[in-house]
Amino acid sequence: MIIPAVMLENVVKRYPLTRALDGVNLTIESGKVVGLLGHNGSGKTTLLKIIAGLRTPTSGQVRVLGMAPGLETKKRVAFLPEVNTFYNWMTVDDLLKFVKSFHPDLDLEKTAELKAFMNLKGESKIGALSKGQQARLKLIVGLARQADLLLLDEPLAGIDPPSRAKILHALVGELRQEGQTVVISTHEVKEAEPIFDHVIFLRQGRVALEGEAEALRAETGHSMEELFGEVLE
Amino acid sequence: MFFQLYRKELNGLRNIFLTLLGLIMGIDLFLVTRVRSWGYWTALHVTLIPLIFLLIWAMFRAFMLTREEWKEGTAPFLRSLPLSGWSIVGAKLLAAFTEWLFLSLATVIFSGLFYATAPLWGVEWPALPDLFFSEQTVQFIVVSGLNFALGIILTGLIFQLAYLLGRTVNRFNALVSFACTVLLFYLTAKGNDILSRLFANLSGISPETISLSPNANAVLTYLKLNIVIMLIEFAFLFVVTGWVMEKKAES
Repeated sequence: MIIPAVMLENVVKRYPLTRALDGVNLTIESGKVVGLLGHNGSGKTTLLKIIAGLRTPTSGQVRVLGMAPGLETKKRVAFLPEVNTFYNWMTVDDLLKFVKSFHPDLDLEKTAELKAFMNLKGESKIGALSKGQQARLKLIVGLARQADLLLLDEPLAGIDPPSRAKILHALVGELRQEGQTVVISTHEVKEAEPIFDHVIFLRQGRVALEGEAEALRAETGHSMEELFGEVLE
Repeated sequence: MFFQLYRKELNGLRNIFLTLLGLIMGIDLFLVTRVRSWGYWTALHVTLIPLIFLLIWAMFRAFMLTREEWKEGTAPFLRSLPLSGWSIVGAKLLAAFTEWLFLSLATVIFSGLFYATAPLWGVEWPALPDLFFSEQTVQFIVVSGLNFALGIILTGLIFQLAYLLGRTVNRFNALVSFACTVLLFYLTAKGNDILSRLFANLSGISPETISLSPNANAVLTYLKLNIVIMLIEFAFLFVVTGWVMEKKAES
């Protein structure tokens, strides 16, 4: 039996005045590129953080690579949050060495290729990088690892439009590890649509619609961008 | 992996460490210019004043290092690494303690250098026999030092835990942290009280017996018992703080 990359059963995340997730059930198969789509506040980031083991659900069951989120899953999952989360006083190379000391699966040869591809210098201080460069650095850290599951929260935010398509295609093409599952949360539906195998639409903490991207397009006759408008408005 | 994290914490502290070191040296240099007007012995005593500031500074340092992760937005990255909550909490505590230790040592060394220059100011060093302490005094200094060091670490841990408890909610973090700080200090003091009484029954030494008949041996034993009590409290709080960092805090 193939273990799904992620399985959520009736997951609820409640805060004093809101419900960030309200009974989410979903299964993400291994090896797929999954689009997590929804407006701001729909629960995308909370969902990714629960999968990454950074937040605990109020109730419900979460299985990541067949295990409950914890130290073991963190070894095999790469999570890249939306904002820059790296230490500003480190250089790009310092950061990569630091990550390598915790994740032996980080391929240093690949980081060199990725630095060239993303046009980043190893000796640059992270604090001196532009927002777009920091977004690229996040991608390097995630993509250079041979992680089984890659969670990207708004990976294109801050990257200039001409580079987005190039990065997106590389993300699912030459840069992706074989058999790796990639979950991408994004607002840039139009640009990201071609790379998704599977899409999940979240609305107010619930799964509004999900399915294989190709099948949804054939069934509804709409593109993902049109569905985004229809389902979530 | 713990060592890598500890090294990261030390690297992050470097700028502030150097600034404080410079400040301590600056104070000593300033005091050199004051010897004539203030008198040598007053100036020498003032060289030790940074130790008081460092004590207070060190108590907040582990908390500040933890708070910085959330303030700077680096907490999600740190917590996504395959590290236990105890490693993260421990590395920060140890880094804060290392900083305090080295800055305190630097203060004492600079003060020693100041003392070494006494003849330059026409002051005579005290006679050599006056500098040798009795074995009991040395023991007292060591035990008191350990009490101070553990007190700093324990206070740092309480602030750290209170901050992390504030991070288990998504609103009113500061208010929750503040309330938890008050509660944790109360609980730690109460715990210290209960354990003191328990040990007093076993050893026959309590603050009351010491105040009734102060004797150096009894005080020393009491201070040693206090170290054991603080170690017990530290172990308990450390387990809880690591668990909150790993399982409950949200980033």
